[in-house]
Amino acid sequence: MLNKISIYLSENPTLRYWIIRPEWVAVILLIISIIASLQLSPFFADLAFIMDSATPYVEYGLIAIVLTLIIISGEIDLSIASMIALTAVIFGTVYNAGFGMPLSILIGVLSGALCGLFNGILVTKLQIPSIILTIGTLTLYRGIAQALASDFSLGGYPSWFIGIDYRYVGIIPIPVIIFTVFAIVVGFLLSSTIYGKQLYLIGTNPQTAKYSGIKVDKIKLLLFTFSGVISGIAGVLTTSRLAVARFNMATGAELEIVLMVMLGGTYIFGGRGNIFGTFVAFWIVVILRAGFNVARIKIESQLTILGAMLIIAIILTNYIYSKSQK
Amino acid sequence: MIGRSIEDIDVKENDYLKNNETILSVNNISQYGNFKNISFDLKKGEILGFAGLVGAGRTEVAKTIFGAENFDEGEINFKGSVISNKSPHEAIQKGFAYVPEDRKQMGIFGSVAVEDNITSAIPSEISNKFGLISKRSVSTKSEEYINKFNIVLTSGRQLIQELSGGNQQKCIISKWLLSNPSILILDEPTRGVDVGVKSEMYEIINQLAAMGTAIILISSELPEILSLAHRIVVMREGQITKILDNKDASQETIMKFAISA
Amino acid sequence: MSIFDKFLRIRELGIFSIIIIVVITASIIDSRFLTIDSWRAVFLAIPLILVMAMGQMMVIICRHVDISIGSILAFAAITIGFVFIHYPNTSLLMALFITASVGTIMGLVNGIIVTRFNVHSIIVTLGTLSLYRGLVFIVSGGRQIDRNDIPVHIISFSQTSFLFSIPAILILSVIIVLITHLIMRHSVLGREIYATGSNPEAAHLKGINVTKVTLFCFGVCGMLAGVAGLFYASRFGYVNPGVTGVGIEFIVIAGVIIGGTSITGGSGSVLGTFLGILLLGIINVALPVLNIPGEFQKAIYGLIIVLALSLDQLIIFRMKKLGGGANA
Repeated sequence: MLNKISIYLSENPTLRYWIIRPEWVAVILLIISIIASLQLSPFFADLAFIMDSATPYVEYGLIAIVLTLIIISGEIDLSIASMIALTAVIFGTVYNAGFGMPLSILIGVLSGALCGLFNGILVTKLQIPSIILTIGTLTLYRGIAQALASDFSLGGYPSWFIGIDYRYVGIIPIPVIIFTVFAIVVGFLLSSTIYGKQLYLIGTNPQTAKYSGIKVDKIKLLLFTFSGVISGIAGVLTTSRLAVARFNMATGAELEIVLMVMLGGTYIFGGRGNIFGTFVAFWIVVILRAGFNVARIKIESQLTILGAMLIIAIILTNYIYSKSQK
Repeated sequence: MIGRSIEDIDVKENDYLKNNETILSVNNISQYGNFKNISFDLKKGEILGFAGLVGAGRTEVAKTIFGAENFDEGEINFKGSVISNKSPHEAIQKGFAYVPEDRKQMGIFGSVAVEDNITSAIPSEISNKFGLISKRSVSTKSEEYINKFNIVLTSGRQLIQELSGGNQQKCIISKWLLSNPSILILDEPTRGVDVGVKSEMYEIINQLAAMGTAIILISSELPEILSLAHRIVVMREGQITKILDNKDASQETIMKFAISA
Repeated sequence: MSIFDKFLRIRELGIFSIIIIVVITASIIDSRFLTIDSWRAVFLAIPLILVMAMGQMMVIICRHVDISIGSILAFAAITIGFVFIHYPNTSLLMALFITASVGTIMGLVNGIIVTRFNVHSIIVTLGTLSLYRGLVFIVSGGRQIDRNDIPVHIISFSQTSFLFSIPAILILSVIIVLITHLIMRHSVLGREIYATGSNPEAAHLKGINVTKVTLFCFGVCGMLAGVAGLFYASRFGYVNPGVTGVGIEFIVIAGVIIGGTSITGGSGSVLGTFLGILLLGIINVALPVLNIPGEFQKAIYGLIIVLALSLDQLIIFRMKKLGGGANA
């Protein structure tokens, strides 16, 4: 039976392409995690509970969307969590120095853009592999944040700014709306525009892309800058949620952000993947984390499961691609 | 016998050649360590062969003209004005096209559909001003050449890596023809291509020249160069040793200039 | 190969000069910097990092990076801590054996995943970094190992000395460094590691078992991170599941990379790595002397990594420009 299916699929490339796709794994995982969490607690039948559980992860989700684009283009950015902390600290410092709120937000986001641009320049101009470079800037940006803020919590924001996670439209918190809209917009750009198509081409074969007249370096530079901008926005959002900015915010967040992208079926070597997968994976992480908390699994012990999931997700995705597209 | 056999003598003349209109003029360009003092003219409708041993610097010259590599000295004239292509993107805008030697590394997007490969160099023609892709123009534009060149495949959505080498090469040529190039650089276009497809490709090259395209043909197969090229540039160790008219050229004379004197 | 060797010599000389400059500047500003005490601080601080750097260097020469070593260190330290609680008489040698074994297993797990599934090691070890850290919490139940849990003879390992008042921990790490040097420079295995790193395909064609070589490097890297766990327990007298070893991987990687080990694999030396770690140690001690707050340490390390990466790449560009010949 299975054999017959595989023969049939091998004769129909289009069908095979549609059926054997890693994001279905994410969908199935999401269904499993919903069922499992319902067994755990009736809370999970309550949409409002899930929505509230999602807000702390929206910042990671936003970045995961951008990181999906970067990984599709064949690069990676591991400095994202440090950029959240650095931009938040810069935002807090500038605000406390007497700049107004709008200007402080602008400076925070711009500093993120600069960090991203710096990554991008070193990757495209000096051709340092992004995976190792961003390990370096991960240390650098977090270090600058620490040098700026020391061990202080930068607070003192106006009350309208604090607690964006407690503002709702209906039962949906505003951060979740921001995330969903962002995912839809970026998903559309990636799937339906020439810019999206060129990302896939670059990730599939950067040499051919260059020889086909695609501005590979310029696009990558933009992507890294974009990653910095969104990290900056995430930094401001996090500060709003926590009411303070600290240098050690989002420590270790690169694990969850990369996990969201990998669970969503984006191919670690570039050229394949989509926003839908990352969007679904975001909810998997949300439900798992909420489930862990309901089941009283210690936050630190949850790391074991998330780390294992990252590795399994990558192995599974590679396996599926090797089966569906030789 | 290393001479000329009857079948070699079928270089096609065309009307454009008679006009003697120079489109590209390369003057003394050098790239340190790779080639120096390269000068030649290229006319509309002309097929200019590049012969020489592997390592003579032919591919570097081609890549430099295409803007993928920089040159250190000299100048390039295109349609009467000095140009410098800083990237393939700029070159393509001006009407250059380059079919690379290394098909797998630089020619195809392996795990991407055939029609997306064929339309990969004409982004503005398959999308509107907002960047939205028109699926219909992707398939009509690619189908035109899939049919014209008899590319063997199950559908335009098939991945290009599943095609034979010859069919992949036809896709790459289709991709460049869609961009309407005035200068087409072919780097070992028939390497790893079976005999049937080879002769189809020769026909395509001759037709293109007849339509006024200027063609640079780099090839290590001397019979191929002798049967296609109007003039033959022979390179050795990064320098041009001779430019031969087809009627004066034979495998012997080419080899004489290609191997150290 | 020879051009890279030359580059490495220049690099080693370069770091050595920077070390001299830092030392001279610091001692001009404050003459106390040249006292035995501050040098004692340097040489007590580096063994831990130095030992881990030897393993990391081998992994990087072999074209990989292991960022899970901080968690391996913590796991080995917590394991040996619990051994001490139940068996306070465990000898130093036995403790070394246990931590080394624990580390080796974890390193091999990294290596197996990397070689078997052909995924970039940084992503794999980003996963195991969290996985192992989580295991530390599960094994310890979140409990810290305190000073009174650790036997006196283990504590004294890093405090006392049997040779010219050089702490034993430093002597042991120097022995490890020398053994690494012997393996890398004077053994077939060492040559195979360099060959694998500079071109895995060519190494395979030469009959080198690339998988085995890679596994060996990851195994050693884990083993030395495990040993560093014992060093940690001995030197700091406590092991905390949430603190021990966190972020230490970046210090180690910084040291290895400024030491001239190329991240593209195939090149690097024990002497360079040693000098790199020594420089970091001296900077660490010099910061307060130079009136730079301790909070700047991480930023400086980060800057050093980025600068070293950029410098390497610029030099490679330069060499390509000068040495490029006509090919194809």
